[in-house]
Amino acid sequence: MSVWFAFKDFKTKIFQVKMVITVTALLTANFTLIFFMLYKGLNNLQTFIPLLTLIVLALPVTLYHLTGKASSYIGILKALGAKKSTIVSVFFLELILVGIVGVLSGIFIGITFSLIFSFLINKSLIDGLVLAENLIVLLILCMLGVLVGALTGAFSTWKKSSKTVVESLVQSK
Amino acid sequence: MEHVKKVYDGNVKPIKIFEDVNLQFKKGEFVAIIGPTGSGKTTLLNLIAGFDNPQSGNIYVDGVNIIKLNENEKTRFRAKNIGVVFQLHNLLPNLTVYENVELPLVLLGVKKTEREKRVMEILNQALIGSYANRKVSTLSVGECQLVALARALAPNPKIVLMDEPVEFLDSLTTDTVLAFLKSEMFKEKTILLTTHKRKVAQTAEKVIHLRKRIP
Repeated sequence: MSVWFAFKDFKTKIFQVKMVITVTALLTANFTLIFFMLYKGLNNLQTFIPLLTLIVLALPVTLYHLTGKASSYIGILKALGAKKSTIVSVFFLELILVGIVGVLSGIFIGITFSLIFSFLINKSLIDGLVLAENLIVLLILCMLGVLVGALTGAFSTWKKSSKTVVESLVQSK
Repeated sequence: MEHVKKVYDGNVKPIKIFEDVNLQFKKGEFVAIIGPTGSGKTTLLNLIAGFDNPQSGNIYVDGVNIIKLNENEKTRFRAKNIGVVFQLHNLLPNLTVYENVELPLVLLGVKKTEREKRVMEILNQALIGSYANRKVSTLSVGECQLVALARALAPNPKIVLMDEPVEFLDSLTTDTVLAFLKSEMFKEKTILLTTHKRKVAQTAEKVIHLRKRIP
């Protein structure tokens, strides 16, 4: 049921809007990271750690707030007979889907803009090779961010779905 | 309902809605609950559906004391036995008409072929079969209410609770909804319906008047 609903919900306008917000957050994070990679590489640990923190923190915080308006959905699903575990898995899957699309779009747009930016300030495009070497590391970090974000969202949903249907529906108004 | 007490936390002092309420509904009965705003009509339905908990008392639905069930047990019990129609229908806007009606059956783990048969049977009976693939966001309020009724009926519940289902509908759509309530689909089901409209209450077999408590 979770997969059925998560995929259907994912197609919606609500999630398209959520995705734009997520992509924007990731774009900012990725652009900063990629820009630093082009200029300093990832060997500089002092640069790497704050950026890693940015990536890992930006996404969960964004996703946590995105689920803030989910109370009415939780209330309706509970009213129709969805168990707590089902509701949590629906939101977890949705956040994973939104996160993956957000990460991939963010990286793509981040790389494009970083290369354009570096070209504009006369930095050689060859430096893009530094980026290619570290792309896997970047992807792993982003996916870790997605997972942490989805778990944070799932925890928030679990807490919200512990309330009665009336409390969930009233809270959404 | 036995000795049910329900009090809400007010800003200044607690708001007492019910004190020692005792009510009994027969199987297959169509009951209209009328009363002014704030008299506790919605609260009554919420308590029977297990959406809210009373401070004290017992509520038996088909012999099961729902007060004693935990949240998951209550949810499971509701999925099989109680269909609910909200005043503002509470359909999921991202799903089609068909998917909204199908959702309670998906939650119950009903097989796809059985789901298809059941959903189309109800939609056709509600005269909205041709809307099956439309998003509910494209429907009128009256059409949404018919979808909400169809969704409540999907798992073939023993009890259908309706909170002012025709409140925002014009007289023509109200007649369509009432005709649907009188159809074969609702035969042998206990229907509890709250309303402000006398015309709607007159269609019921029994009418319960709730009075607003004077603080």
